Amino acid sequence: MVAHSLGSVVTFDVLSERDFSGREVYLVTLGSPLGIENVQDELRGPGGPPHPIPGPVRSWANLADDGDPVAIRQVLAPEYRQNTYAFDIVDDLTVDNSGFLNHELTGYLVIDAVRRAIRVP
Amino acid sequence: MTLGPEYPPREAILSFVVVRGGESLLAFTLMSRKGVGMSPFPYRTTVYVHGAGQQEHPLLLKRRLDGLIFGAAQGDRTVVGYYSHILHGLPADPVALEGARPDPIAIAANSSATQADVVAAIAGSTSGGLESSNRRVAMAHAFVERADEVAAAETGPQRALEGVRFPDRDSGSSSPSWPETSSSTSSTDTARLAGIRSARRYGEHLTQP
Repeated sequence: MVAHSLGSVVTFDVLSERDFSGREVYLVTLGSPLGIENVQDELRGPGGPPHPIPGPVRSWANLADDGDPVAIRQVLAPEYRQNTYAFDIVDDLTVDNSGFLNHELTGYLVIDAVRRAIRVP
Repeated sequence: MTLGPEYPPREAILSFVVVRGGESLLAFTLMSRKGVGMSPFPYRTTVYVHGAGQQEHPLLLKRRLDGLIFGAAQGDRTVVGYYSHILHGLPADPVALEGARPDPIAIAANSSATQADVVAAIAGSTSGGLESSNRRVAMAHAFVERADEVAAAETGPQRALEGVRFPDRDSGSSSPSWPETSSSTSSTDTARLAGIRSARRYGEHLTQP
């Protein structure tokens, strides 16, 4: 699942649904606000940080520009705790988004590191 | 890369890989890589989930993201997790629009067609308000003229549309038409149609909702 901006919060919430238990998801978040405390306060499950990562997530690559105003807190690894199945959660990577406000989706998708994270090489 | 106390043992990884059958070798290779942000295992479907605000139609969004990430349409391999319509409504279906719109190339190939006919085909319907419609028509005119320039550049000094009278500019003209040609396969016609084809592509972009 490739989720941009608010879509990463939506994805996080949806994957916390029971219906998704048993699924296996490789999550890529781009310009995510999941590091913001006010956003974290609205997440399901026991409080944190670290907050529980939804069960279906097997791996999570989080990429953000350090000037992205939505991804104010870019490093998510300390904010979330691993679930039972995940093996290399969370990869945080700072990238250079030359798009609008350093946040535009297209700006992320032209970055090699982002494309590598999404595609099977 | 952080590995916590719940990191599964190697055996667990292998059993996980085995159940993936024909993709297992690739999966193991990928899991062995330690590069940050590398896809750790193969996946059957990629789901795009967009950000906040009004989005383009999901079909267009999928087409654009497929092209940006994979370089080509991915068919069933990718889907869009779409929620923009909850707040902003669903934009017009581009497939339906495409089906309802006349083909400007077919029109341009008709010797009785006028430039206005081609412009109308490129600009699409008049929906979206007068200002929007006028803007589309004006730009479609510009595209058709550009097509004419392309055709002229490819076929020599004679302008492809030379001699054509356009009713929207010359109200006193009689029976406006494209230039008559003795052969439907002349280089001028070919270049003109290529130019119109290019103009149509721009027109499609222009008239997206």
